[in-house]
Amino acid sequence: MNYLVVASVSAQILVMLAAALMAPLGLATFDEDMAAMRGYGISWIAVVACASLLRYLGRNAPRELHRKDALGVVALTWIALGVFGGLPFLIEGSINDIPSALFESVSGFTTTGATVVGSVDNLSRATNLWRCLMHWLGGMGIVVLFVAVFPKLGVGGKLLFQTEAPGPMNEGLRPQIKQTALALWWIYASLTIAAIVVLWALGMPVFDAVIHAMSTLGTGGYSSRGASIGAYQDPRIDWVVSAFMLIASLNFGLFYSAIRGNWRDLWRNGELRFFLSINAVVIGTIALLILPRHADIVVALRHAAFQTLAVTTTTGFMTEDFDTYPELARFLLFMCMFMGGCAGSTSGGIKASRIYILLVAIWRELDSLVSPNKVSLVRVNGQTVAPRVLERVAMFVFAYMVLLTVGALSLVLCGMDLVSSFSGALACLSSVGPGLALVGPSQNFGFIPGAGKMVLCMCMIAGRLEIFALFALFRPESWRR
Amino acid sequence: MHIVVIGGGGVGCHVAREFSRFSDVVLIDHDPAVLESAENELDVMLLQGDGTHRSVLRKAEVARATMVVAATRSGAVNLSAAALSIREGARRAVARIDDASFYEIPAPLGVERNVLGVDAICASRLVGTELLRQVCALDATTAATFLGGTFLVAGVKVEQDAPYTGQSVDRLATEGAVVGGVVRRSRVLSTTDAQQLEHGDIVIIGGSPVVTSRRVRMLRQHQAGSAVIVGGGEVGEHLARDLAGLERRVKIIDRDRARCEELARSVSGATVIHGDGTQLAFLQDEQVGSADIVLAATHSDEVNLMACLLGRQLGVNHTFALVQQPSYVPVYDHLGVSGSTSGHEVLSAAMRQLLPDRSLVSSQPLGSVPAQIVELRLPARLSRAMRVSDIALPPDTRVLGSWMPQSGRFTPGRRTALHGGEHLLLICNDSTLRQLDKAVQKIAPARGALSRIRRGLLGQDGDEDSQGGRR
Repeated sequence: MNYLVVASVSAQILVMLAAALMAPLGLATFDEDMAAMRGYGISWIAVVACASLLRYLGRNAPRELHRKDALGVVALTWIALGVFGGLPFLIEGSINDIPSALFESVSGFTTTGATVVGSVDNLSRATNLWRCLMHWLGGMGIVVLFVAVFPKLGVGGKLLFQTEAPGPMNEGLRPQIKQTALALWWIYASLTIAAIVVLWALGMPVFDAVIHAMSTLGTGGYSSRGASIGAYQDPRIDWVVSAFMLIASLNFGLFYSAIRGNWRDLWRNGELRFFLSINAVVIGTIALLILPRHADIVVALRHAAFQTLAVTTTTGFMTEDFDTYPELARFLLFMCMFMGGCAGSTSGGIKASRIYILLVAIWRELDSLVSPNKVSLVRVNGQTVAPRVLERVAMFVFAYMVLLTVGALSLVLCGMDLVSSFSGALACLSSVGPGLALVGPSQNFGFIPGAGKMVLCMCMIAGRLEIFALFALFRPESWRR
Repeated sequence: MHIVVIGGGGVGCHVAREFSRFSDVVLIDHDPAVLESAENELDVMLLQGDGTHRSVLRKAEVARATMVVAATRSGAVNLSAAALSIREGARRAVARIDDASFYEIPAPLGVERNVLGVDAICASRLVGTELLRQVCALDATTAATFLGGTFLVAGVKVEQDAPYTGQSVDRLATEGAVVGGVVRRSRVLSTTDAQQLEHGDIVIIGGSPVVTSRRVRMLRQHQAGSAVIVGGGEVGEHLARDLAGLERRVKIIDRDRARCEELARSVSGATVIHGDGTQLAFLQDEQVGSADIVLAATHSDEVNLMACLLGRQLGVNHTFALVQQPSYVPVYDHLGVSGSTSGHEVLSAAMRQLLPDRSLVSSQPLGSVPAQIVELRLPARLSRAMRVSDIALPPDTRVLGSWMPQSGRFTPGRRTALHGGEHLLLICNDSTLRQLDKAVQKIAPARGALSRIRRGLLGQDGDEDSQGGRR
């Protein structure tokens, strides 16, 4: 890794973070909230100072960015985002200890939405804006935004993009990676604006509409209300948020081809069909299971759809506490936490396409046991999956399980029960947010000791960067020049 | 701009990389392994498929392509892929065809226009001319090729006792040579202003590569010596023909007996020798050490480098090499090879000059004064019949002549009638280059508002260059 290159590129990404911090700073000034102004003002100065220092250190950096540098930039940037994002909480006084502030900010940028704050209703407006803005920036990825906005990086930009963007097979939408990144951000921003307008039209206050739209499209889950979306008690808002959660968890590349007139690609996409079918089955089952609690099937369906989508899209909003659902419903939702949304979306998890590829591969394996000479291929979306991709998918899923075990083990060591430990670690790794039992939707992660929070922070960043990018940093070869 | 490159080999990847700096590029290849390595190196869109299939071309959106470059190893594949692209609506298509005997254009010209609507580009001729330019540059202050490689412009410093000192400058302009101007005391003078050659002048001479080289050598009083060419491929053959007109003795060495016999038949004025140019004993035997220059032009980088190094070892002052891998060029320089030319780079530069949108084709600074030699392309249609003198050229602009790319005919001076699509070769000041560019663009016929809207809607804006094959 060339430290100079990493410093100069990271400096530019931190400049974008500083620009983002202006939003809560501006709101705090508008609200004349002295504590928040101090918190965001000092943080802004700290980020700018750090960016200038890095810029100065990297002033003689060569222009070319290699694979190791891209890994370094993305992984280190994400760690820096966590640190600087949590700074305002500490200075403002909304969160009092360092691990909690770090957890809150990492959870924000990785779009997890797991919080340590007991009563979010008491937070300042600036802090609520910042929490959801972190979701929004982290959703499509601040590095992808950097590739889109800053001057042409060429192949270096492509490496950065691939390191941050999720999915086993990323194909470019446009010939140049800068344009691809720009197209993705355009779609993302337009959808966010659409969500803001619709929520506002349905009677949500403008501020709430803005932060919930950002939280929804980033599939984060932070809300300014303790009862999340359930606080509005409006079935129309429930449906609209469900719909936007679903949209945010689909492959944005498909939206791009739809805009260019290839509507049929949407339906022809195998991953999308698989994802929608699973959702439909889970929603149907849960609706039947919770029918006794509700007046009629429509209400049950609405709550079932909202809770299921909140989990499968890894958003983590709620209108009801799904931890109080029957065991089978809890089990189904727990399983959905593994999968997450589609590749190329803002959601986390293993991704529907990986699960789909593995299921098809298992089917092929069975086939080859019965008829060993038969040539059968693993095909997804009409394309044959190369053995190398298949290998990577299998390794990814295994690494996911290993990391889940490590995360759960650390929580067990902190004295938590098995269900809470596993669901909490999985909720962080898949960036869902709420888990079950002690870390259920109506609880928070505040009680976990500092060490446990740090392990969960690592899980969240690893899950967001699809595991390998973060752990490649731990190999000494990555640091060699 | 949208450019489609067919073939992800060395040339294709190099062209894709160069073009991706200023344009969208789609690279097509049928080999997934090639695409996988390209994925890690290039910021372009990759498409797996056969470039001669219309479905693949449509998928690459050749209909809105400014240019399609077919750069696989096979000329037949390139020609058919390029011709199909034109039929699918590409504005311009270039096909790499390495076989020099395919071409029906006079020798130094490296690009044949409108073969099935396609521009065919000949690597061996372009590379040969480039090597010759480097040889010429040994005696010149500056040397650059223009007009599709047919025209070499060089600046020569006049020494105290050089021939023609004190005589009229115009006396140099014989045998097809053109004198573009004289740099005297940091000013570019026209030949009429300069009147007589003085000691310390830099004369700017243009002409076909051989003619210019000969003039330059004459002014520098460089005696004809001997040259050795290692590698009798198409580049070697091209070089042997040109050098035969310059040097007293030219030897061409090739390892293949049959090829040697073929060369002996086709190249007159050069001695063909059968042997291995990387064997020291053989080279000593052939007295290569007494040569003035060694040029290595085989298909193998190892052989070329070795031949150059052995030549230097034997006492040859100047060695030149053809380089297959563009990234090796600095290594050659480091090892003391006087000049090296990468075929990939020459091809990609030539292709860039064929891009239809630009009026400025190429420019070369003169070095000692803030002036440039500039090649400009006129619009495809002119507003009226005109001569060079009718264009509102900025002051201090010297005209060398005009050139028709289709026929390769060069007409010196500013008096001839101009045609659409013609190229102009000029010397202008650095500060007036933009002014000059504008003056040339102004001579296009003013478009009516209606036709402008129609062209805008059809996305054909600026489709100026003649493309016979599309009609």
